[in-house]
Amino acid sequence: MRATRGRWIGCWTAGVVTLLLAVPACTSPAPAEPLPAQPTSASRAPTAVPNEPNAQILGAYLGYWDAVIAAHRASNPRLPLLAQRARNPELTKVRQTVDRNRVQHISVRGTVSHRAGVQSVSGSAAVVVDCYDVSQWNPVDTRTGAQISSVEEGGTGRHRARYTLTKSAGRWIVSNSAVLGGC
Amino acid sequence: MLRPWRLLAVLAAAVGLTVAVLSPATPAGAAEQCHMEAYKNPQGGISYHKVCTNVDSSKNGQSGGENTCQTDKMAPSLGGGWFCIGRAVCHERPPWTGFGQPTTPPPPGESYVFIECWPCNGCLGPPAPSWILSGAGPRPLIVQAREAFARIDPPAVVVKHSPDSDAFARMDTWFWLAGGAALGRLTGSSAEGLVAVAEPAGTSWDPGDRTGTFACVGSGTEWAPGKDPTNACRHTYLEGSDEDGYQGAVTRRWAVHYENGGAPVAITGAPGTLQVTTTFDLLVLENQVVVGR
Repeated sequence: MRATRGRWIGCWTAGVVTLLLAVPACTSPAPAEPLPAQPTSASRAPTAVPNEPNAQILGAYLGYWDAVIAAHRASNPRLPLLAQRARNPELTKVRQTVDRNRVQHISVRGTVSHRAGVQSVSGSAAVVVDCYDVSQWNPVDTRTGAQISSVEEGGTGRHRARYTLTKSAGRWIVSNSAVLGGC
Repeated sequence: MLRPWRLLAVLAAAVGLTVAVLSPATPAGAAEQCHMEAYKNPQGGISYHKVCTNVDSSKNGQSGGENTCQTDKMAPSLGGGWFCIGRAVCHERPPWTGFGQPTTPPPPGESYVFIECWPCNGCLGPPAPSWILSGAGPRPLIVQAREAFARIDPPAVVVKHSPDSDAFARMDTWFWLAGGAALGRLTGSSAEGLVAVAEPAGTSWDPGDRTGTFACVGSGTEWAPGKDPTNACRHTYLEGSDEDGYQGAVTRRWAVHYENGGAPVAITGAPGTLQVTTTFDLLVLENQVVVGR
């Protein structure tokens, strides 16, 4: 894991190599977020190293999240990075969420942690299943910067979700998602 | 020069603020109040849902307990339903005259609600108007659970002890709660019918002399001559108190689960315990025994 990375990641995919090699494959450029506390080893998922295609998929998936976090932070549903990392219907879904918050003078800030793995790859389509945690990604009032107390709709902030990625022009892009429940 | 609608808004705000500051505070009690709470969905979208509670400041761990503002200090003349957004105290109200409407249409099944927030209790800051989005569709289970939980209304209790006036050091003091329903089974329901069921889980007593708390299975046994002390809540003070007495406390505890049509429902994140603390004062005297021939 890079020292500047604002999240911890556990990846389980095909292949078994070393942790040292695995983690960079699951990272992407760091967002401008405060660093969370270093995770303990107990908080990591069972880790295996992705093979090269899976590493690309996970990299693209986490890059999508970087774009989502950046768009929320900037309260900008039209952030160009979003369109590079997501396509419809996912792109519209994210933009609508950022916009609904913007209308309410809300920006969601902080970090999202992941335990993601590639579930399947078939041609130019891939499915990533993630147990992500948004409990440290919280709303603030954009006018005052004050935190807004909110309740996690799922109770804990940990959600299991399935993301579909599509390969286009040699790049994986998130095209759809569905929340499956808690985790 | 202020435009007319701005002038109206400023005047309305000034009048509102004056009323808020000058009016007596809303007394704490068990009256039900509805307010808006912010919920964060898995994608980070914030929506507000109305939650109705029996307001009782003695209840620990209920929804809204993490709020950092005190809504009960706001004036009822400005309308009920005060809620906290961070430290700000907010309420729902008709939009200010001339205040801009949201340019984005609300998502299907939702509507805009106009709110007005003061920076903090008693702050003389300008109230901040805003639009929030509130869902008209089914409320998430966690919302229903928090409402059902907050509608559990534990009965008020009176702490009794024996001796019934002042206690004596180095002698057993019995404690109990007056009223058979002091630690009974309780329920509260959400508007949708989800029921929060609170099963008695005992009491813990802090006698106030810094010796720590002790637990009792129930709400104690009323003392009577010759009564079996086995299940009694008893404490022996080792020293007399000062003239103000010891300030003790009893905490009633319930284990809470949720039911829908009689069937248990597991709701992650919903409150699982209810605690209500009642304080009492007790003067403890040093008993002086004269031994002589």
